[in-house]
Amino acid sequence: MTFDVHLAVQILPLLLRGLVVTIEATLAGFVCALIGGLVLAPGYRANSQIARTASRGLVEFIRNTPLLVQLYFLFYGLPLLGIRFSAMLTGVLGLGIYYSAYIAEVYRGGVDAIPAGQWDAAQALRFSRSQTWRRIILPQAIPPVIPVLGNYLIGMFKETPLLAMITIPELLSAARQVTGTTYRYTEPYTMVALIFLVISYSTSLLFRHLERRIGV
Amino acid sequence: MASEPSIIQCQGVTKSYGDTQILQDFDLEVTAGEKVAIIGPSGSGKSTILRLLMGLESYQSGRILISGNLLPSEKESRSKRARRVPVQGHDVGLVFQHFNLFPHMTAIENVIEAPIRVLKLSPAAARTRARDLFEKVGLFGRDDAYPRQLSGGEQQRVAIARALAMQPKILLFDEVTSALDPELVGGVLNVLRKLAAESGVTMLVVTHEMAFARDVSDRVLFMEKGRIIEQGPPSLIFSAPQNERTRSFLREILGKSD
Repeated sequence: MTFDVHLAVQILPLLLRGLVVTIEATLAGFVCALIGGLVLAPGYRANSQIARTASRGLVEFIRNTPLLVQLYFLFYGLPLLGIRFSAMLTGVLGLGIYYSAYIAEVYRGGVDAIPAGQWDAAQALRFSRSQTWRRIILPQAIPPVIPVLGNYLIGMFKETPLLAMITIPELLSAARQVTGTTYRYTEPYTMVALIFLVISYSTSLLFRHLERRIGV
Repeated sequence: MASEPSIIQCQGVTKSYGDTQILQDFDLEVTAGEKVAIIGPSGSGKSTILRLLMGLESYQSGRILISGNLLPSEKESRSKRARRVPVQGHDVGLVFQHFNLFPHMTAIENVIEAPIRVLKLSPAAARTRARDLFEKVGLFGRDDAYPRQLSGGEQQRVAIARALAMQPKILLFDEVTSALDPELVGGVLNVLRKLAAESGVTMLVVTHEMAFARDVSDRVLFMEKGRIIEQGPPSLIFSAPQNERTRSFLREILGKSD
Protein backbone atom coordinates (compact mmCIF):
# COMPACT_ATOMS: atom_id res chain seq x y z
CA MET A 1 0.00 0.00 0.00
CA THR A 2 1.31 3.40 -0.94
CA PHE A 3 0.80 6.70 0.80
CA ASP A 4 -0.92 9.16 -1.55
CA VAL A 5 0.48 12.54 -0.56
CA HIS A 6 -1.81 14.28 -2.97
CA LEU A 7 -4.87 12.74 -1.31
CA ALA A 8 -3.51 13.60 2.14
CA VAL A 9 -3.24 17.24 1.17
CA GLN A 10 -6.61 17.17 -0.49
CA ILE A 11 -8.46 15.91 2.59
CA LEU A 12 -6.63 18.23 4.94
CA PRO A 13 -9.26 21.05 4.90
CA LEU A 14 -11.98 18.53 5.74
CA LEU A 15 -9.93 17.10 8.60
CA LEU A 16 -9.12 20.54 9.90
CA ARG A 17 -12.83 21.31 10.07
CA GLY A 18 -13.17 18.22 12.27
CA LEU A 19 -10.19 19.39 14.27
CA VAL A 20 -11.94 22.68 15.04
CA VAL A 21 -14.83 20.73 16.57
CA THR A 22 -12.37 18.55 18.50
CA ILE A 23 -10.61 21.59 19.91
CA GLU A 24 -13.88 23.30 20.80
CA ALA A 25 -15.10 20.20 22.61
CA THR A 26 -11.77 19.81 24.42
CA LEU A 27 -11.57 23.39 25.60
CA ALA A 28 -15.22 23.58 26.64
CA GLY A 29 -14.97 20.18 28.33
CA PHE A 30 -11.79 21.22 30.12
CA VAL A 31 -13.35 24.41 31.44
CA CYS A 32 -16.29 22.32 32.71
CA ALA A 33 -13.84 19.93 34.34
CA LEU A 34 -11.82 22.72 35.99
CA ILE A 35 -15.01 24.18 37.45
CA GLY A 36 -16.48 20.78 38.33
CA GLY A 37 -13.26 19.92 40.16
CA LEU A 38 -13.53 23.16 42.12
CA VAL A 39 -17.02 22.16 43.19
CA LEU A 40 -16.03 18.62 44.16
CA ALA A 41 -12.67 19.24 45.86
CA PRO A 42 -13.86 21.40 48.80
CA GLY A 43 -16.47 18.70 49.42
CA TYR A 44 -13.67 16.46 50.69
CA ARG A 45 -13.06 18.87 53.55
CA ALA A 46 -16.62 19.97 54.19
CA ASN A 47 -17.79 20.03 57.79
CA SER A 48 -20.82 17.94 56.99
CA GLN A 49 -20.29 14.20 56.78
CA ILE A 50 -23.01 14.00 54.11
CA ALA A 51 -21.18 16.45 51.83
CA ARG A 52 -17.92 14.55 52.30
CA THR A 53 -19.50 11.17 51.54
CA ALA A 54 -21.42 12.59 48.58
CA SER A 55 -18.37 14.12 46.91
CA ARG A 56 -16.28 11.00 47.54
CA GLY A 57 -19.03 8.73 46.22
CA LEU A 58 -19.58 10.81 43.13
CA VAL A 59 -15.87 10.91 42.32
CA GLU A 60 -15.51 7.15 42.77
CA PHE A 61 -18.57 6.50 40.60
CA ILE A 62 -17.30 8.71 37.79
CA ARG A 63 -13.76 7.36 37.91
CA ASN A 64 -14.80 3.74 37.96
CA THR A 65 -17.06 3.66 34.92
CA PRO A 66 -15.80 4.02 31.34
CA LEU A 67 -16.10 7.40 29.68
CA LEU A 68 -17.75 5.85 26.63
CA VAL A 69 -20.45 4.28 28.80
CA GLN A 70 -21.05 7.64 30.48
CA LEU A 71 -21.30 9.34 27.09
CA TYR A 72 -23.82 6.75 25.88
CA PHE A 73 -25.73 7.12 29.11
CA LEU A 74 -25.94 10.87 28.68
CA PHE A 75 -26.67 10.72 24.97
CA TYR A 76 -29.32 7.98 25.01
CA GLY A 77 -30.41 8.03 28.65
CA LEU A 78 -31.10 11.71 29.28
CA PRO A 79 -33.66 12.09 26.46
CA LEU A 80 -35.65 9.29 28.12
CA LEU A 81 -35.78 11.49 31.20
CA GLY A 82 -37.05 14.33 29.04
CA ILE A 83 -33.70 16.17 28.99
CA ARG A 84 -32.64 16.98 25.46
CA PHE A 85 -29.21 18.45 24.80
CA SER A 86 -27.44 18.76 21.46
CA ALA A 87 -24.83 16.10 20.78
CA MET A 88 -22.08 18.69 21.24
CA LEU A 89 -23.39 19.87 24.61
CA THR A 90 -23.81 16.28 25.74
CA GLY A 91 -20.25 15.50 24.69
CA VAL A 92 -18.83 18.55 26.43
CA LEU A 93 -20.75 17.73 29.61
CA GLY A 94 -19.67 14.10 29.42
CA LEU A 95 -15.98 15.02 29.09
CA GLY A 96 -16.34 17.73 31.72
CA ILE A 97 -17.99 15.51 34.32
CA TYR A 98 -15.60 12.63 33.72
CA TYR A 99 -12.48 14.77 34.02
CA SER A 100 -13.82 16.84 36.91
CA ALA A 101 -13.53 13.71 39.03
CA TYR A 102 -9.83 13.41 38.16
CA ILE A 103 -9.20 17.11 38.47
CA ALA A 104 -10.89 17.19 41.88
CA GLU A 105 -8.23 14.68 42.97
CA VAL A 106 -5.50 16.90 41.53
CA TYR A 107 -6.83 19.91 43.42
CA ARG A 108 -7.08 17.77 46.54
CA GLY A 109 -3.40 16.89 46.24
CA GLY A 110 -2.58 20.59 45.95
CA VAL A 111 -4.80 21.45 48.91
CA ASP A 112 -3.40 18.68 51.08
CA ALA A 113 0.07 20.13 50.52
CA ILE A 114 -0.96 23.42 52.17
CA PRO A 115 0.31 23.48 55.77
CA ALA A 116 -2.35 23.36 58.52
CA GLY A 117 -0.99 26.69 59.74
CA GLN A 118 -2.53 28.42 56.72
CA TRP A 119 -5.99 27.21 57.71
CA ASP A 120 -5.32 28.22 61.31
CA ALA A 121 -4.17 31.69 60.29
CA ALA A 122 -7.20 32.16 58.04
CA GLN A 123 -9.51 31.18 60.84
CA ALA A 124 -7.70 33.34 63.38
CA LEU A 125 -8.35 36.28 61.05
CA ARG A 126 -12.04 35.28 60.90
CA PHE A 127 -12.18 34.62 57.18
CA SER A 128 -15.32 32.75 56.21
CA ARG A 129 -15.06 29.27 54.81
CA SER A 130 -15.46 30.45 51.23
CA GLN A 131 -13.06 33.39 51.69
CA THR A 132 -10.50 30.94 53.05
CA TRP A 133 -10.84 28.78 49.96
CA ARG A 134 -10.88 31.62 47.46
CA ARG A 135 -8.28 33.94 48.93
CA ILE A 136 -5.91 31.72 50.89
CA ILE A 137 -6.02 28.05 49.93
CA LEU A 138 -6.69 27.86 46.18
CA PRO A 139 -4.23 30.61 45.15
CA GLN A 140 -1.53 28.50 46.82
CA ALA A 141 -2.84 25.07 45.86
CA ILE A 142 -3.42 25.56 42.14
CA PRO A 143 -0.12 26.90 40.68
CA PRO A 144 1.87 23.80 41.71
CA VAL A 145 -0.65 21.48 40.05
CA ILE A 146 -0.83 23.36 36.72
CA PRO A 147 1.55 20.86 35.02
CA VAL A 148 -0.69 17.99 36.11
CA LEU A 149 -3.74 19.85 34.84
CA GLY A 150 -1.90 20.22 31.54
CA ASN A 151 -1.49 16.45 31.35
CA TYR A 152 -5.22 16.03 31.84
CA LEU A 153 -5.92 18.60 29.14
CA ILE A 154 -3.82 16.59 26.69
CA GLY A 155 -5.40 13.37 27.96
CA MET A 156 -8.85 14.76 27.34
CA PHE A 157 -7.86 15.95 23.88
CA LYS A 158 -6.80 12.44 22.99
CA GLU A 159 -10.08 10.98 24.30
CA THR A 160 -12.22 13.16 22.05
CA PRO A 161 -12.46 10.54 19.23
CA LEU A 162 -14.97 8.86 21.56
CA LEU A 163 -17.27 11.76 20.75
CA ALA A 164 -17.59 10.33 17.23
CA MET A 165 -19.68 7.60 18.85
CA ILE A 166 -22.33 10.13 19.77
CA THR A 167 -22.44 11.68 16.29
CA ILE A 168 -20.23 14.69 16.97
CA PRO A 169 -18.41 15.64 13.72
CA GLU A 170 -14.96 15.85 15.27
CA LEU A 171 -11.63 14.89 13.74
CA LEU A 172 -12.10 11.11 13.72
CA SER A 173 -15.60 11.48 12.27
CA ALA A 174 -14.16 13.61 9.51
CA ALA A 175 -11.57 10.94 8.76
CA ARG A 176 -14.21 8.24 8.70
CA GLN A 177 -16.19 10.33 6.29
CA VAL A 178 -13.17 10.41 4.00
CA THR A 179 -12.74 6.64 4.20
CA GLY A 180 -16.42 6.24 3.35
CA THR A 181 -16.08 8.11 0.10
CA THR A 182 -12.53 7.26 -1.00
CA TYR A 183 -12.08 3.76 0.48
CA ARG A 184 -8.61 4.91 1.49
CA TYR A 185 -7.64 4.31 5.10
CA THR A 186 -3.93 4.98 5.35
CA GLU A 187 -3.99 8.64 4.48
CA PRO A 188 -6.88 9.86 6.63
CA TYR A 189 -5.86 7.91 9.75
CA THR A 190 -2.20 8.79 9.35
CA MET A 191 -3.17 12.42 9.07
CA VAL A 192 -5.39 12.14 12.15
CA ALA A 193 -2.52 10.61 14.11
CA LEU A 194 -0.13 13.33 12.94
CA ILE A 195 -2.56 16.10 13.84
CA PHE A 196 -3.06 14.66 17.33
CA LEU A 197 0.68 14.29 17.73
CA VAL A 198 1.47 17.85 16.67
CA ILE A 199 -1.16 19.42 18.91
CA SER A 200 -0.56 17.21 21.96
CA TYR A 201 3.17 17.65 21.77
CA SER A 202 3.07 21.41 21.31
CA THR A 203 0.61 21.70 24.20
CA SER A 204 2.93 19.71 26.42
CA LEU A 205 5.80 22.01 25.43
CA LEU A 206 3.63 24.98 26.31
CA PHE A 207 2.92 23.57 29.76
CA ARG A 208 6.57 22.75 30.29
CA HIS A 209 7.35 26.38 29.54
CA LEU A 210 4.60 27.49 31.93
CA GLU A 211 5.97 25.16 34.57
CA ARG A 212 9.36 26.86 34.37
CA ARG A 213 7.76 30.28 34.44
CA ILE A 214 5.85 29.64 37.68
CA GLY A 215 8.85 27.80 39.08
CA VAL A 216 7.36 24.55 40.36
CA MET B 1 -11.69 42.96 90.66
CA ALA B 2 -14.88 41.23 91.78
CA SER B 3 -17.01 43.81 89.99
CA GLU B 4 -14.88 43.67 86.87
CA PRO B 5 -16.24 40.84 84.72
CA SER B 6 -13.59 38.48 83.41
CA ILE B 7 -12.97 38.73 79.69
CA ILE B 8 -11.82 35.10 79.64
CA GLN B 9 -13.35 32.41 81.80
CA CYS B 10 -12.32 28.77 81.61
CA GLN B 11 -14.15 26.47 83.98
CA GLY B 12 -13.20 22.81 84.38
CA VAL B 13 -12.03 22.56 80.79
CA THR B 14 -10.79 19.20 79.59
CA LYS B 15 -9.18 18.43 76.27
CA SER B 16 -7.69 15.21 74.99
CA TYR B 17 -6.45 13.81 71.73
CA GLY B 18 -7.51 10.18 71.75
CA ASP B 19 -6.09 8.74 74.96
CA THR B 20 -3.75 11.62 75.59
CA GLN B 21 -5.11 14.03 78.14
CA ILE B 22 -3.90 17.55 77.31
CA LEU B 23 -5.91 19.67 79.73
CA GLN B 24 -7.55 18.42 82.89
CA ASP B 25 -10.05 20.41 84.85
CA PHE B 26 -8.48 23.62 83.70
CA ASP B 27 -9.66 26.85 85.35
CA LEU B 28 -8.59 30.34 84.34
CA GLU B 29 -10.02 33.82 84.76
CA VAL B 30 -8.46 36.79 83.00
CA THR B 31 -9.65 40.36 83.43
CA ALA B 32 -9.76 42.83 80.57
CA GLY B 33 -6.37 44.41 79.91
CA GLU B 34 -4.46 41.88 81.98
CA LYS B 35 -1.13 40.55 80.67
CA VAL B 36 -0.68 36.92 81.52
CA ALA B 37 2.45 34.88 80.83
CA ILE B 38 2.12 31.11 80.64
CA ILE B 39 5.27 29.13 81.29
CA GLY B 40 6.01 25.46 81.75
CA PRO B 41 7.67 22.47 80.13
CA SER B 42 6.73 21.54 76.56
CA GLY B 43 3.70 19.31 76.32
CA SER B 44 2.11 20.91 79.38
CA GLY B 45 -0.89 22.16 77.37
CA LYS B 46 0.15 25.82 77.11
CA SER B 47 -0.36 26.15 73.37
CA THR B 48 -3.56 24.11 73.51
CA ILE B 49 -5.19 26.73 75.72
CA LEU B 50 -4.46 29.39 73.13
CA ARG B 51 -5.83 27.21 70.34
CA LEU B 52 -9.02 26.61 72.33
CA LEU B 53 -9.46 30.31 73.06
CA MET B 54 -8.91 31.07 69.38
CA GLY B 55 -11.56 28.53 68.44
CA LEU B 56 -9.11 26.50 66.34
CA GLU B 57 -10.00 23.43 68.35
CA SER B 58 -12.86 22.41 70.56
CA TYR B 59 -12.81 21.03 74.08
CA GLN B 60 -14.61 18.03 75.51
CA SER B 61 -16.10 19.31 78.75
CA GLY B 62 -16.25 22.37 80.96
CA ARG B 63 -17.00 25.85 79.75
CA ILE B 64 -15.04 28.59 78.01
CA LEU B 65 -16.52 32.07 77.92
CA ILE B 66 -15.03 35.02 76.09
CA SER B 67 -16.61 38.37 76.91
CA GLY B 68 -19.48 36.32 78.32
CA ASN B 69 -20.03 34.36 75.08
CA LEU B 70 -19.78 30.60 75.33
CA LEU B 71 -17.41 28.88 72.91
CA PRO B 72 -19.11 25.69 71.77
CA SER B 73 -17.56 22.49 73.10
CA GLU B 74 -17.11 19.47 70.89
CA LYS B 75 -20.58 18.14 71.70
CA GLU B 76 -22.26 21.48 71.20
CA SER B 77 -20.73 22.00 67.79
CA ARG B 78 -21.94 18.43 67.06
CA SER B 79 -19.58 17.64 64.25
CA LYS B 80 -16.56 15.65 65.33
CA ARG B 81 -14.38 17.71 63.05
CA ALA B 82 -15.31 20.93 64.78
CA ARG B 83 -11.88 22.37 64.25
CA ARG B 84 -13.35 25.42 62.62
CA VAL B 85 -15.62 26.85 65.24
CA PRO B 86 -17.35 29.90 63.82
CA VAL B 87 -17.75 32.51 66.49
CA GLN B 88 -19.52 35.76 65.85
CA GLY B 89 -17.72 38.84 67.05
CA HIS B 90 -14.99 36.72 68.54
CA ASP B 91 -12.47 39.45 69.27
CA VAL B 92 -9.45 37.24 69.68
CA GLY B 93 -6.24 37.28 67.68
CA LEU B 94 -3.40 34.78 67.65
CA VAL B 95 0.24 35.15 66.68
CA PHE B 96 1.77 31.81 65.79
CA GLN B 97 5.14 30.31 66.53
CA HIS B 98 5.77 29.75 62.84
CA PHE B 99 4.21 33.07 61.71
CA ASN B 100 1.86 31.37 59.21
CA LEU B 101 2.01 34.30 56.85
CA PHE B 102 0.26 33.83 53.51
CA PRO B 103 3.19 33.17 51.14
CA HIS B 104 1.35 34.34 48.01
CA MET B 105 0.78 37.82 49.44
CA THR B 106 3.19 40.65 50.15
CA ALA B 107 3.75 41.89 53.69
CA ILE B 108 1.16 44.61 53.39
CA GLU B 109 -1.33 42.35 51.60
CA ASN B 110 -1.05 39.91 54.49
CA VAL B 111 -2.08 42.68 56.84
CA ILE B 112 -4.86 44.33 54.83
CA GLU B 113 -6.59 41.21 53.51
CA ALA B 114 -8.67 40.44 56.60
CA PRO B 115 -9.58 44.05 57.45
CA ILE B 116 -10.84 44.49 53.87
CA ARG B 117 -12.66 41.17 53.53
CA VAL B 118 -13.85 40.61 57.08
CA LEU B 119 -14.13 44.06 58.63
CA LYS B 120 -15.15 45.58 55.26
CA LEU B 121 -12.62 48.39 55.57
CA SER B 122 -11.84 50.33 52.39
CA PRO B 123 -8.49 49.32 50.86
CA ALA B 124 -7.15 52.83 51.50
CA ALA B 125 -8.14 52.75 55.17
CA ALA B 126 -6.72 49.25 55.55
CA ARG B 127 -3.42 50.37 54.00
CA THR B 128 -3.18 53.34 56.32
CA ARG B 129 -3.85 51.08 59.27
CA ALA B 130 -1.25 48.60 58.04
CA ARG B 131 1.44 51.29 57.59
CA ASP B 132 0.79 52.61 61.11
CA LEU B 133 1.12 49.10 62.45
CA PHE B 134 4.33 48.44 60.52
CA GLU B 135 5.77 51.53 62.13
CA LYS B 136 4.63 50.30 65.51
CA VAL B 137 6.24 46.88 65.07
CA GLY B 138 9.40 48.38 63.56
CA LEU B 139 9.09 47.16 59.99
CA PHE B 140 10.31 49.73 57.51
CA GLY B 141 10.37 49.69 53.71
CA ARG B 142 9.32 46.07 53.44
CA ASP B 143 5.64 46.60 52.53
CA ASP B 144 5.91 44.92 49.14
CA ALA B 145 8.26 42.10 50.08
CA TYR B 146 6.97 38.55 50.05
CA PRO B 147 7.32 36.49 53.22
CA ARG B 148 10.11 34.37 51.70
CA GLN B 149 12.14 37.56 51.19
CA LEU B 150 11.85 38.52 54.87
CA SER B 151 13.93 37.41 57.82
CA GLY B 152 12.21 35.45 60.58
CA GLY B 153 12.10 38.53 62.74
CA GLU B 154 10.53 40.58 59.97
CA GLN B 155 8.00 37.84 59.25
CA GLN B 156 6.96 37.73 62.86
CA ARG B 157 6.57 41.52 62.92
CA VAL B 158 4.27 41.26 59.90
CA ALA B 159 2.32 38.52 61.69
CA ILE B 160 1.95 40.71 64.79
CA ALA B 161 0.77 43.62 62.63
CA ARG B 162 -1.65 41.28 60.86
CA ALA B 163 -3.20 40.21 64.16
CA LEU B 164 -3.33 43.81 65.44
CA ALA B 165 -5.02 45.02 62.26
CA MET B 166 -8.16 43.16 63.32
CA GLN B 167 -8.16 45.22 66.54
CA PRO B 168 -8.81 42.28 68.84
CA LYS B 169 -9.61 42.73 72.52
CA ILE B 170 -7.56 39.66 73.34
CA LEU B 171 -4.23 38.82 71.75
CA LEU B 172 -2.67 35.40 72.14
CA PHE B 173 1.03 34.81 71.52
CA ASP B 174 2.14 31.24 71.01
CA GLU B 175 5.92 30.99 71.58
CA VAL B 176 6.39 33.72 69.02
CA THR B 177 10.18 33.81 69.33
CA SER B 178 10.85 30.06 69.44
CA ALA B 179 11.33 29.75 65.69
CA LEU B 180 13.65 32.77 65.44
CA ASP B 181 17.41 32.89 65.19
CA PRO B 182 18.81 33.97 68.56
CA GLU B 183 19.93 37.39 67.35
CA LEU B 184 16.39 38.21 66.17
CA VAL B 185 14.61 37.28 69.42
CA GLY B 186 15.33 40.50 71.28
CA GLY B 187 13.82 42.76 68.62
CA VAL B 188 10.54 40.89 68.50
CA LEU B 189 10.34 40.74 72.29
CA ASN B 190 10.77 44.50 72.39
CA VAL B 191 7.78 44.85 70.09
CA LEU B 192 5.73 42.81 72.55
CA ARG B 193 7.08 44.76 75.51
CA LYS B 194 6.01 48.01 73.88
CA LEU B 195 2.63 46.58 73.02
CA ALA B 196 2.08 45.39 76.58
CA ALA B 197 3.09 48.75 77.99
CA GLU B 198 1.16 50.95 75.59
CA SER B 199 -2.04 49.12 74.71
CA GLY B 200 -5.02 48.08 76.75
CA VAL B 201 -5.33 44.79 74.92
CA THR B 202 -5.59 41.65 77.01
CA MET B 203 -2.52 39.50 76.36
CA LEU B 204 -1.86 35.83 76.96
CA VAL B 205 1.73 35.00 76.19
CA VAL B 206 3.08 31.47 76.07
CA THR B 207 6.85 31.82 76.28
CA HIS B 208 10.15 30.25 77.22
CA GLU B 209 11.75 33.68 77.71
CA MET B 210 11.67 34.07 81.47
CA ALA B 211 13.11 37.58 81.64
CA PHE B 212 10.46 38.69 79.18
CA ALA B 213 7.67 36.96 81.14
CA ARG B 214 8.87 38.72 84.27
CA ASP B 215 8.97 42.13 82.58
CA VAL B 216 5.68 42.21 80.74
CA SER B 217 3.21 40.20 82.75
CA ASP B 218 0.85 41.07 85.58
CA ARG B 219 0.57 37.40 86.36
CA VAL B 220 2.52 34.27 85.57
CA LEU B 221 0.99 30.82 85.27
CA PHE B 222 3.19 27.78 85.64
CA MET B 223 1.67 24.77 83.93
CA GLU B 224 2.53 21.12 83.96
CA LYS B 225 0.63 18.12 82.57
CA GLY B 226 -2.45 20.09 81.63
CA ARG B 227 -2.90 21.84 84.96
CA ILE B 228 -1.92 25.14 86.50
CA ILE B 229 0.52 24.20 89.23
CA GLU B 230 1.17 27.68 90.51
CA GLN B 231 0.28 31.25 89.60
CA GLY B 232 0.94 34.70 90.91
CA PRO B 233 2.63 38.01 90.20
CA PRO B 234 5.97 37.59 88.44
CA SER B 235 7.90 38.95 91.40
CA LEU B 236 6.59 36.11 93.51
CA ILE B 237 6.81 33.30 90.93
CA PHE B 238 10.37 34.12 89.92
CA SER B 239 11.84 35.02 93.30
CA ALA B 240 9.90 32.85 95.69
CA PRO B 241 8.07 29.99 93.91
CA GLN B 242 6.08 27.95 96.40
CA ASN B 243 5.81 24.73 94.48
CA GLU B 244 8.76 22.38 94.16
CA ARG B 245 7.96 21.66 90.50
CA THR B 246 7.98 25.37 89.66
CA ARG B 247 11.32 25.70 91.45
CA SER B 248 12.93 22.85 89.56
CA PHE B 249 11.55 24.08 86.22
CA LEU B 250 12.89 27.59 86.81
CA ARG B 251 16.22 26.27 88.04
CA GLU B 252 16.62 24.23 84.91
CA ILE B 253 15.52 26.88 82.41
CA LEU B 254 17.29 29.80 84.04
CA GLY B 255 20.43 27.74 84.52
CA LYS B 256 20.38 27.00 80.82
CA SER B 257 19.89 30.54 79.64
CA ASP B 258 22.61 32.07 81.79
